[in-house]
Amino acid sequence: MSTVVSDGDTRPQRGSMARGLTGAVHWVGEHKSLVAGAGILVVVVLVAVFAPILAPRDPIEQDLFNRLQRPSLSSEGDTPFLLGTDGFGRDIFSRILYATRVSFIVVISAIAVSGTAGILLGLVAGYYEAKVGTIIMRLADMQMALPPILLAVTVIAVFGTSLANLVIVLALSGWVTYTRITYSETLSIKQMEYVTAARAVGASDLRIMLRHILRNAFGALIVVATLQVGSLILFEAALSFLGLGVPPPTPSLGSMLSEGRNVLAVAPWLATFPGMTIVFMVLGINYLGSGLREILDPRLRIG
Amino acid sequence: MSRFIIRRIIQIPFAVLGITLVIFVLIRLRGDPTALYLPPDAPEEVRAQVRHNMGLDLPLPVQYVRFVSNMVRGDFGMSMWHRRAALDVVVSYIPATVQLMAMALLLGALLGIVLGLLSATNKGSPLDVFLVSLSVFGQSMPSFWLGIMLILVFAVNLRWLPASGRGGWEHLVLPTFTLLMYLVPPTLLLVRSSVLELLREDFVLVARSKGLTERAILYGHVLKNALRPTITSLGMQMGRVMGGAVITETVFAWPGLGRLSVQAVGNRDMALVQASVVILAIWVILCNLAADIANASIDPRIQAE
Repeated sequence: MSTVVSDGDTRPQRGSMARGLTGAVHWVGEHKSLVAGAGILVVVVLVAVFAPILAPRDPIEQDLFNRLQRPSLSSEGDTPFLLGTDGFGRDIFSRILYATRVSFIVVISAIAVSGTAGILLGLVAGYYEAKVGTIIMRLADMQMALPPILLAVTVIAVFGTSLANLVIVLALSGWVTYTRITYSETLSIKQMEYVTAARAVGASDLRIMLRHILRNAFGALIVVATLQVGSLILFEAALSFLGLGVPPPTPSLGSMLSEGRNVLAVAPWLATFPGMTIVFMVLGINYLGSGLREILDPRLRIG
Repeated sequence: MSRFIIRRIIQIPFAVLGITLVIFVLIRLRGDPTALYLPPDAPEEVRAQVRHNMGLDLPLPVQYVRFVSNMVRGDFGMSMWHRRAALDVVVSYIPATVQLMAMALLLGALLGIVLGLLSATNKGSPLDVFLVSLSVFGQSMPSFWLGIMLILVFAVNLRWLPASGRGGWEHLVLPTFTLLMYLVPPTLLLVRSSVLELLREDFVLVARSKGLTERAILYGHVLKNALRPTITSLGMQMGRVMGGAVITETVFAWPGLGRLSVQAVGNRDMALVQASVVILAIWVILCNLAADIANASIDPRIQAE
């Protein structure tokens, strides 16, 4: 889990977003990291969505006459290789655009799976504490004891590399966080009087869980999910670097770095640009996460 | 030894059992396990032999008991790639991993605590801003990319340090530095925030009013209290640091267990994967235990528990 500390002004917010231009400017000033992070994320999402339109070349097509070309802004007639080419003559710029897309799809799917499963398990474990709570939380403890990298090594060794398996590995390493947060929120909220009141007027267990408990835990969950996007992007890159993630020839930032490591002496650009892309993405998401935390969940604030 | 530590030691075999169960379930989920332990062109007689040895005709619980009892006896099967017992191969790779991780853990804890303290006591100064932004940046960066960039600068361009392999101290510099990026930023930020929080506590006010110097307050009272959450978090970070070690070893071709396990996946050498995963998991559990023992020895409240 990555944590971002913000030293920004922590004066309490008076009212919601202020009206007028000065108000907006003031709001931006108060939430610098949120705005910067959101800005970066918008760029990354646009790149991910429009990669097929933005990419000047096919990211997979090999061009053996143009292997390990230097980055350049000009070329005779043809579109230039903005960030150079790799060992198969593939355009690095186009591959980075597509790799961003792949990374995003994989990570968002993993969070959708682990978030849904984790939240449901946490709700059930907290609400039916005596019956299934202990079993689910023991399972969560076991999962915590198994380092994600070892789980990844085992799952990939048994099932091989594929995008689906990658999503499963990422989801397996992430669900516990959601379960633990939802579980502890459920334990405290179900004691509240308004829950008793809801039960008294005949609300079902399901309705209480979703309408009352989940809604209260939502802020914390959104913050955690946002920060997890960052750490999962890093984890996905690491797995792909090790050859346990995105299978070739699908472009991925991690496997591009792995190839770049091998030709470092002759083509340093190959390892440089994908790494910078990862830093840009994760930095943006971490800023967004810490900005969101200041607004949504003041209890989690550090510093 | 407090009761707390003894309880933690008793939990260890169960944690290891849990991990073997995960491996067992995954292998059986896949279908015919012999496919994992044999090359695809293995003749049917061999396949039948292996099937019999693994007891695949027995009920699943019995199979699991055999699976675990084999492991307890140190029998993880034969490594297809190395043509030796998997455990022997793994054992010969342990020293390299322990050397790298121990070095990084010691330096990382030390640097994280010292820099975190510096940052907290100079809150708002350029040094503090620099250290905090560096930590935030460090946490947003794939550390293996830093490793690659270090190779580019110090091995390829300047030729000061070797790019890969294990040998003298000069081989340790770049991998240790890379692994430190997994440890120092979170430790620094945690020490900083807990010291800042503690400085606002009443006991600091009391210490000040009875005339203690700031230095005595910081080292005698605040640091000691900040150490406990720091050690706990270091223990909880072990899984992540293990991930970092696997990648760092791969980047620098460091002949350790992490790189071995990844190579075993690539070579479809299931016995070796099993052996290295179990041994690595035990190493993580032992590091966690070490963190608990360290905590119990500085905090009497835990021992009383």
